[in-house]
Amino acid sequence: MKKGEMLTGFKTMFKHPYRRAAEWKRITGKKVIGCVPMYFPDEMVHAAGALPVALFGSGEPISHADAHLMTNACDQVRSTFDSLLKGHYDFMDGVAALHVCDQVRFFIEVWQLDRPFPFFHQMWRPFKMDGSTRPFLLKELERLKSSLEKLTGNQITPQALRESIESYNESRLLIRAMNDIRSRRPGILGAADTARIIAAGMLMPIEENITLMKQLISVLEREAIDGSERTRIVVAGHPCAVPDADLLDMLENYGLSVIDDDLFSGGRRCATDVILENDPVEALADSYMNALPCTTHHFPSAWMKSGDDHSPYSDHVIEMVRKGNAEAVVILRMMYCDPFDLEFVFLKKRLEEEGIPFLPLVTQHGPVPLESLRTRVQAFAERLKTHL
Amino acid sequence: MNQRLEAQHRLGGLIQKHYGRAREIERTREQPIAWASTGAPNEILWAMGFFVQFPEAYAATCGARHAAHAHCAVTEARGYERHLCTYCRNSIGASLAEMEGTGAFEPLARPDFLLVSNNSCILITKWWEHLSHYWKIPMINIDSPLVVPGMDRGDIIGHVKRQCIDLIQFLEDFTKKRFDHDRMKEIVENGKRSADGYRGMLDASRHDPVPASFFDLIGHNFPNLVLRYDPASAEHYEQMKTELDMRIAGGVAAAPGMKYRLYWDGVPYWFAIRNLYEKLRNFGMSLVTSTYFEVFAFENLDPSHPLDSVAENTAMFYLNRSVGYKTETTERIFRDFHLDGGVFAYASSCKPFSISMHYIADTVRKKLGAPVTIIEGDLVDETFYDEERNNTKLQALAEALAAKRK
Ligand code: SF4
Ligand code: SF4
Repeated sequence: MKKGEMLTGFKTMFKHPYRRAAEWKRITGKKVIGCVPMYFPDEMVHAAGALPVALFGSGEPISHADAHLMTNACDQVRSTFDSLLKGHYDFMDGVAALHVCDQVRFFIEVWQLDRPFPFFHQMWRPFKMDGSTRPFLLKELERLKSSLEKLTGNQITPQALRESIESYNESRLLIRAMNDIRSRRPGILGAADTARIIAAGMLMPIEENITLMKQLISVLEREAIDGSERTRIVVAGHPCAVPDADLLDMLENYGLSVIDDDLFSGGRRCATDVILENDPVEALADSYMNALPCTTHHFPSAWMKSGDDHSPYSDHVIEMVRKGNAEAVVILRMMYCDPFDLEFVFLKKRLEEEGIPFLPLVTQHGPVPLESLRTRVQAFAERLKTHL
Repeated sequence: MNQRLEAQHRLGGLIQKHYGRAREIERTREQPIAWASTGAPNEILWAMGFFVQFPEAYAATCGARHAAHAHCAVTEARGYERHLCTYCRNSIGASLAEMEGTGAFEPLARPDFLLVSNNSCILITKWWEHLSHYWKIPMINIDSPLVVPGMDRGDIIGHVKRQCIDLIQFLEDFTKKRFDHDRMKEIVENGKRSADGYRGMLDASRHDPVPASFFDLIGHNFPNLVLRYDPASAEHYEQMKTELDMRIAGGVAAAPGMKYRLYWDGVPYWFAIRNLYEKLRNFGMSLVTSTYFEVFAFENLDPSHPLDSVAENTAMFYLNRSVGYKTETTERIFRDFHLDGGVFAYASSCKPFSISMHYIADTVRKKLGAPVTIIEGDLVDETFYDEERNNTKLQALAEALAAKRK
């Protein structure tokens, strides 16, 4: 298959996010569970013989949700709630969420009270990551395991969970390989395509995703683009949602090439594997404990010392810039995302101190009003070019 | 208006004494100073000899004294978005102003240590990270999961207790002092007595006519939050109970001639309290009580199990309970306090209080047939408040209550 055809395929999948899952359910007769981003342990759902699909909401105008939910919720939350009320998730057997932030933890229960699903599971991933909180995380993973077993009637054996983790690790490895090609040869794969490919992977069975990713990588490896003329940038932010494709295209149309990112539908998704040494549930718990710095966790050791200037998340973004030999950072800020907005203040300060140019763009639901951002993007791209 | 409760004068004295003492300690450094969140296991700090101050309570004071907007503006200039919690922005803004010597409003005494629990919201831990960053002092967060159906209560308490033990170890190192279990027991005992007194004060409002309104009682969260380690807090509530009982016996109403008993949901708009009180009174509506009081109830303290009960208090903090639990509590309060209707105060910068508000208001309306209204504003920054619009809503509520009674 040609690259163009493959990319169109991913684009179509992303445009109709639940078509494949509904079809899979029809054919297999198995359960589909909608998982609210981010960080839900999909491996566990898979090991129970069900299909986990990410709930990204949609690009449709929000017409139903605002009557129920106040308008200061982030777009990701409003848009998923809107999709729920419009019935887009009706074919699913249940919904599950990890309490990633205040908005998710308070709004998700309103879903269940308002429009009950036969299966509904809320999980706590400690906000503070250290040895004292790990035992409770293990309990939460066990609790999820038993509720999935009850739903599907399938026992999640250590072997089944181990195999699921292996599949997800393989998929993460393939995403990393794709990102590596993009970093080595900027321009070979657009940022919008990359985000769609990774997001689509969260909407289909993992086995299919692995097959498609292998095909894509072999196609990319054969293609000759070196892209050395382009300005290398890193994209950070936009915690739970897939960024608007037109916005990412616009960045690249001005000569900026995204060589790495910190998006949930991007580098964050594949950055770390679940290391299978002993018990697979323990391995999942460890993977949370060793997670990449994120605006939605608190790393106690960074804050227990006196007099330090600390922000593990900023360190992580700066490290990405250095490692990827990037010139600048574009920060996508979703309107009303509190965790990121607070983190942004630190990130901004640190990038200024490090002398790394950055462009923060606040995005809103629906077709992003590109024209209002265009001048800023253009000026930023030109400024970078003249400084190079 | 009715005669002022004697308890108001006493409360003023307690507040003044607390802040006076804070200033003194800031000067002499005879005790380490901690800033702590409302739901954190603060008994541990008191037992370790800390003088504890509360940035959330401070935000409320700044709001009531119309100083919060200026603090919030300091943060906006630094890149903090306007929609972020105004308690948080007030606190960061006041800290920055204090460090830069530009503060115009009496600040909290400078902290040595920061303790927070994400049991009120997750954002609050990030708020404390920022305090830790600017003040360059250590912080500890006590992780406390939202209590949802299916979780085991014992597991949650155990989770919090493990962290309390870590906290004690850290503080022993930090203060170079051993943790005193006897002192802890004494503090929990005082806290229990204070919490019982607080509940007694709240329960007096079940009576009709109500002896003290929601607005009369709201400031009395202070002793149970800030001073419950000290017997002075329990004494305050005990004396207050006597005063309220006398009013009940004498048939004295907080405001005579009120026709409707109302519920308040959410954080009071501190800058608009007086104004709202007048407005409601003019409509014959008396605000009686609120689930907001539950936030300061600290009801799980038990001197026979000091540490476990402190962990339980933290784990079962009202704000950390599920939407279903909060809805049931609201319904129960409507019934127990014979309430006719409700005012739900949406605070645009506080998501934890606001996201589920629509659902709770709707359930109360449907299940209990009680007229409700959702007014809009914010915690402490008055620039979010549209007085005219809210007055229209209150008037509509008064009309709905009148129509129902006909
Ligand atoms: S985008 Fe931000 S506010 Fe919205 S769900 Fe994700 S972390 Fe929460
Ligand atoms: S609960 Fe609301 S007021 Fe309190 S810190 Fe959280 S957002 Fe702010």
